[in-house]
Amino acid sequence: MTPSGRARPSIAWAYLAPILVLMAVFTYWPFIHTLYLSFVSWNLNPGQPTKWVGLANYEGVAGSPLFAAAARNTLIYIAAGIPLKVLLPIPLAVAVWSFGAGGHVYRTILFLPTLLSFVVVAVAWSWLLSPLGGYMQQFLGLFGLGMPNLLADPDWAIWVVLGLSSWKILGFNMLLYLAGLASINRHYIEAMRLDGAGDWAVLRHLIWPLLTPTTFFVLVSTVVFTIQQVFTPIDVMTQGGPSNATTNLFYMVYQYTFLTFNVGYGAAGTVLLFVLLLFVTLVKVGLLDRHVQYKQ
Amino acid sequence: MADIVFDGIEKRFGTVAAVARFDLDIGHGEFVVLVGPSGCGKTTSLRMLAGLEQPTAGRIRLGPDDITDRPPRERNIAMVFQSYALYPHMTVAENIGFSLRLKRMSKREIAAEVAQAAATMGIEGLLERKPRELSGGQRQRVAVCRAIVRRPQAFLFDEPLSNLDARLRASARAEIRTLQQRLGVTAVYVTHDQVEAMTMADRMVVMKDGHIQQIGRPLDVYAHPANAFVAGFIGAPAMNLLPLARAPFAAAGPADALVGVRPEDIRLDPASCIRPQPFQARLRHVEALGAESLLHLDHDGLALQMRLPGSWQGAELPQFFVDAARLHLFCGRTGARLPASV
Amino acid sequence: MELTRPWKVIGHALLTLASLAVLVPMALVVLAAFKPHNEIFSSVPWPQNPTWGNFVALFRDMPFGQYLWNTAGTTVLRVGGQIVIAILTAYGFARWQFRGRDVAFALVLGAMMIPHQLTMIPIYIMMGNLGWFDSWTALIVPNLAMPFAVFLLRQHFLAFPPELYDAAEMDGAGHWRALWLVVVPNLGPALSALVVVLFIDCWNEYFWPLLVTDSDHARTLQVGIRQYLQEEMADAYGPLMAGVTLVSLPALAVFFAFQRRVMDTFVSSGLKG
Repeated sequence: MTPSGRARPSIAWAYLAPILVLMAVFTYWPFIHTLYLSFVSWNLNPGQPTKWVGLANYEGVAGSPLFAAAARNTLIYIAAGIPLKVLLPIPLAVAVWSFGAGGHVYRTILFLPTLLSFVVVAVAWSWLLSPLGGYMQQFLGLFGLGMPNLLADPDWAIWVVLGLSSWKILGFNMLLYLAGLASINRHYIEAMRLDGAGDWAVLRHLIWPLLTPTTFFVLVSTVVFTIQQVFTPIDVMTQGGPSNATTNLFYMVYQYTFLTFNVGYGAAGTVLLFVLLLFVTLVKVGLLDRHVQYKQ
Repeated sequence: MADIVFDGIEKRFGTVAAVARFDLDIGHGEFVVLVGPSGCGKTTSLRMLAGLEQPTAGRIRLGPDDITDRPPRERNIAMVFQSYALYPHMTVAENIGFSLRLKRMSKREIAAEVAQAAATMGIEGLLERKPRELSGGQRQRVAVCRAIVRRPQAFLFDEPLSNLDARLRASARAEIRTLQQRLGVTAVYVTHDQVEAMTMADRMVVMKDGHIQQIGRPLDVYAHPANAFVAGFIGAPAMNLLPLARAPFAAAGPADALVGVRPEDIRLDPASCIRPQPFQARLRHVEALGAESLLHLDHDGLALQMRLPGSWQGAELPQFFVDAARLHLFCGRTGARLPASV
Repeated sequence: MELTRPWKVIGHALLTLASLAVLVPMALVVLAAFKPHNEIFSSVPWPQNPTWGNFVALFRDMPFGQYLWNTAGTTVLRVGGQIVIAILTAYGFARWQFRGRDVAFALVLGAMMIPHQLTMIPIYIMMGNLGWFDSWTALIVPNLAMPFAVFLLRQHFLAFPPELYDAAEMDGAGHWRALWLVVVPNLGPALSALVVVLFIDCWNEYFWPLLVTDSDHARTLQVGIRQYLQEEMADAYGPLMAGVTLVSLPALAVFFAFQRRVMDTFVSSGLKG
């Protein structure tokens, strides 16, 4: 029996009205407006008229050295982050899962960085990594190793941002894997055990294959996280520098729009970013559907 | 005087008629049971009376008022749901008093009304508990309590006993009926269980596929089912329904008619029949239930059931009799009762 | 699954290492918050002359109290608004079947594909035109629609027994009172976990407040701390560590109050958001 109730179904629109209005004003309209701005030249000054320039903004962005750096860095952030962000959580999750209730403490500890803001993490690490005698320098000194000023060095800075974002997301991704592991039917394991399988055989032939969909899913959601969230540590620690060594596509949009007031370039960069995110999100939705089926 | 009137009620979901041409007058204080298999429209009819569904056509009256277009809260009708639908976050007392609270009655009045209703149902000791701490039987009493506290003009019951075990169900049947008679409130009760319909109803309404099949007092319906469906649905074990042409006994009717005989109208002792007619059948299997026995017979591939008081002490080749005065004849095409039958 | 001994040891070793990698930096920061200026780069991890001075400096050198007030106030109002709107939306979707429902639901979920970063320029301009720039309103209103919260609550609403709606209606509650007196009180832990996740999300937000605030009038803690870092640099690591400790406490506190449930809700936000 449908919970239709007696009230006419059209009353539902009254309940939906607030969110639909908000989304129209603050999501869908700005989105369309961004598309428009990507075709004009404007400097964010309300008194200044906009000028239609067609695809010139896209050409300008694509040809700029900032875009080249941002695109390259975005790729590095994504690809180089895979071992720490996507792969390392797997053995951790399997270990926590195998300990049952005994693993809860680890789970809670590793989850803590998720609760901290990126500002907090970035400020804390900039102290720990300080070239003026931070703990990392002291620690390396114990082994007779020197430490360069990481954040000022174009070769090192991007790895600092990367390491810190891995530190922050590690526990969260581990939790995603734990959700995947929780859906594994323990009868399979018992059946394999009865067939005489050892630990390695169970891990290799049962758990790893069953975890594959989760792995793809974590990969994709980590890509989205990396594109969207790394803005904060970049802005707090390096502002995209030194010499564009740490900027990414999102930070580039911010730089164009709000630091150099080139709104057209910013909007064009936003549209490019959207295409990238749309692609990743579609992959994610596809994976999620499969993930759900898999669980059933 | 009619208390509740369904006048040409119809409910369509898209092109499907869930309830078609439903006409029924219910007298004041009467206990009417709507009975039928699932999907027959009985629950939809009840929900339209409650105001939870809007009829596609027709009018519903309660007392002097046409209530068709009123929302449930303006109908003064209370309902007991199949799952009891107790609010999980409220105590028993809060559950019972919720409707009074919505009427903005004072706290003290509510407490008094709740206490009185709880005493009626013998659940004074449960008032501070949460529904999840109650047994099925206790929940059912709370649900009834929530209905009576409002002093409604009519009670509606939607399969209120189907979640109880068999023993509780029997005692709950009697309890609900006694309570309703004591309060003198009109009741409409929906069930798929023909035993509930037989034992509780003043009148029952047998439904199938959205259509009323028969309205009548239980024993009248049992003795004179209006068609083959009612004949098969009311009574357990069901009436034996056979094509007349292949039946082991003779009856006057068209060749394509169905002949029906209740299991208790097949006998071993011809003296107990008004017009005994012997017939041949093979005994296949006996179910001994203690007070009675069910015999499964076979005649030329046709299965028949027979009910016998006491236990079967059987002869090897028993002679069966059918009471020809108690045969039912139904039209082979429409299933309608034929006048030739008694 | 029970592992054999060598695997167990490896597992514990790995997890211990990872836990240390999380806990040691956090501990160093908290301890540094109590270190006087001359000990901030000392090789001894704990303060030898513990002091509250860093906390005092925090409130003296920057309008920390004002930032705290802005953050707490906008977070409470924003999360409250998000929850109420998500409840209304989820109820509308879950309780009735109506023409256009699927389209409307697709529009709500589709908004998850359009994160802030893609709409920030026009909203920024809009804030200016509306005169909302550098105000609580700018921090709150553009963020009230929360598709993920709608999605999560709708799941719970769909699991809600429809007979309870009917019972509420028979008892005299229309759809509005049924929502607030019957449905919402039964959401229980799911709702509190959602509140915690939204709270942490908002409390920790950096990008949007950075964009739409430019004075102490509306600036939030996250932006304030970052600015303090930029202005004082290395001279102020003591107060900064005090600051990040203080800023993190509320999120950690609410998390530990609702632990398990919050982790699950975070996971589902990751699955959908």
